[in-house]
Amino acid sequence: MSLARIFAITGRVISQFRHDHRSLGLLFVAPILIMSIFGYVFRSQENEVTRVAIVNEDSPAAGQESAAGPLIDSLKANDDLVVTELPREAGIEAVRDGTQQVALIFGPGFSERLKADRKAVIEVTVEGSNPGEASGALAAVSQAIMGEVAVVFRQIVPPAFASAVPSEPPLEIEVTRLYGSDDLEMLDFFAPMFIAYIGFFMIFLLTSVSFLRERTQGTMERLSASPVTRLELVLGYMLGFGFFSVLQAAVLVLFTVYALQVKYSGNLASIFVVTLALVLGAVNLGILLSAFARNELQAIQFIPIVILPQVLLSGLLWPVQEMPGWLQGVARLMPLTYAIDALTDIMIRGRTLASNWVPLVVLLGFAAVVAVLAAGTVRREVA
Amino acid sequence: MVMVMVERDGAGAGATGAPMVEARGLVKKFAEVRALDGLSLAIRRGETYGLLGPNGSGKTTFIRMLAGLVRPTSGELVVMGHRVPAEASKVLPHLGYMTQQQALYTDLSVWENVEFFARIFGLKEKEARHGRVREVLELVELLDRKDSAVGTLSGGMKQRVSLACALVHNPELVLLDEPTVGVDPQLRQTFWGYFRMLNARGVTIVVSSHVMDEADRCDRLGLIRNGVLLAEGTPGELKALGGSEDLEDAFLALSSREKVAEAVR
Repeated sequence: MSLARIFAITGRVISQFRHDHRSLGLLFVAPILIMSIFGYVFRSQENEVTRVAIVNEDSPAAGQESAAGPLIDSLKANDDLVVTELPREAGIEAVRDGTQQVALIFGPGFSERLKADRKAVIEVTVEGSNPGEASGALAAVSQAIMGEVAVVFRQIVPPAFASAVPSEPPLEIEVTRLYGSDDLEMLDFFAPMFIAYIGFFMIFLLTSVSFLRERTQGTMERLSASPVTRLELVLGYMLGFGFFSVLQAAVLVLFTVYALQVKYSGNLASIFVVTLALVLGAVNLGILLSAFARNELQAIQFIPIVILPQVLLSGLLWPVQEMPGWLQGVARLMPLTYAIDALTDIMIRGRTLASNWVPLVVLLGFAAVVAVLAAGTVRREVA
Repeated sequence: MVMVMVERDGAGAGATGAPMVEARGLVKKFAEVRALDGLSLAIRRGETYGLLGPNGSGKTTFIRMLAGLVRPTSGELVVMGHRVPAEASKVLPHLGYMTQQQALYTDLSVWENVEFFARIFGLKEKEARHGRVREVLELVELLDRKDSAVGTLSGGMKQRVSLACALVHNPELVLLDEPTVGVDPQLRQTFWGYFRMLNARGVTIVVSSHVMDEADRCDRLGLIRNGVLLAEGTPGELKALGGSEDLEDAFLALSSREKVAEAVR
């Protein structure tokens, strides 16, 4: 093993990219563009006001104060909601035709039930054809209700309102977060995942295509007739692309943190270490799979196979723990699952690299195993 | 040029001592095809040895075998005194290989390409390396284009860069697989000028070709057909053997004679 030769390859990979402006754009500009779009989408959803129709049918007993009244007043004062008071039929009709997103109905006997410490029901109606929008609106409303409830009815214990909260899982998450006081935004939650995906995807794509070119343009043949060993070649590539991926991670993380103002706790350096461990695996996987492609198109055809399952299963759409058992098994085979585990833990929970040594070791192990497999496909002997 | 050739006709000036290459009964089977079918030949140190034969005759397979890229199905191959491919790692540092494809990094500049191969072949010391890169670029007359991206060069220039990459580490043995395919007659002339220069420095050259006027410039020729050596000798000897003043006619005569012999067998 010769370090000089490994560095020769590393240096060459780096100078090739210096000349290749398109690939540099893919590495550095595209991620920023993607993050900006995500940032915009999530932020704008966050800031959107929810249109709420309120139907007040509360009928307090004579001489008693209405419990719904102050709650409705405070909801009207809530910045996230635009409240219109309507009769029952009109309110539901307004939700159906989309002029209102949510209807809240305080039924007759609301005050009485509250006072008696029985379940006081707020009937919630949403349109629901767009699950994303519905859950967003429900989340906003339940957040507002629970917030105002906490203020207006301090003395009333929360379980009395449990049924006021629709029983869908995302809502439960919102409710929990309300009491957790830390108002984590969607973007903060997704940022670590996007950093991992973008890094893995771009580096995998670029390595597999550049290594494929090495084979098709004949330089592989030339290198095979030189003192370079297969492992030196793979390691040289790994370092070269590793260099770019650290730069990319730096740009991405700094952009996410400073331009998009994503909240993160934990140590920036730890984020780089995890990202680097992840993309080293991506480089080697790119080299390995390029052996099974005869041209660029075939290399790109690996993307749906390599990237999409990881996007679906590594925890972006569903938490790994909530997947069926066998799918969890599949997810545990994927490097991105571990990277996202560690990045989420570091960025959101503010834990250290040391407490994430398991995913880190798995990522480095993956990189090492794939490096050896990749070196096996770089055959000195063609036949 | 002609004068030089006359002078060098016959065994090459430095062609002495133990052979650079010794092949005995090389066979290579690719699935059903026998690319080499018992090839035996010896190449002397310092000579220019031409492998002559039609496409698919086994020239490229033999050259790749010399570079340790193809394992013989049977037979023995010794290069620089080392068995190949078993001891290829001892041979490769002293071997220059110019493939049929140009095999260059088109994004990189001329200089970067040549320097990369210099580093790969262990020229660690920067000043010596740069000196050497400069030297080969001077040889192929591309020093003034050293900062151009290879992708922007003409085909002939790329071919010269490719040669520079194969020569930068001062190899003892240079393998040239059809180096002048797609090269205009003038550049071909230039290339042979380079080869002569290398030869004069004691470098052994193995060059494959199916162009007869090139073959005429080699010290010795091996005629290959269907993976076997039909005839071997200086261009003059082969012409005599084939009974023609024209190498192409001689080659065809020798080939058909072999066909007749096969038929009789």
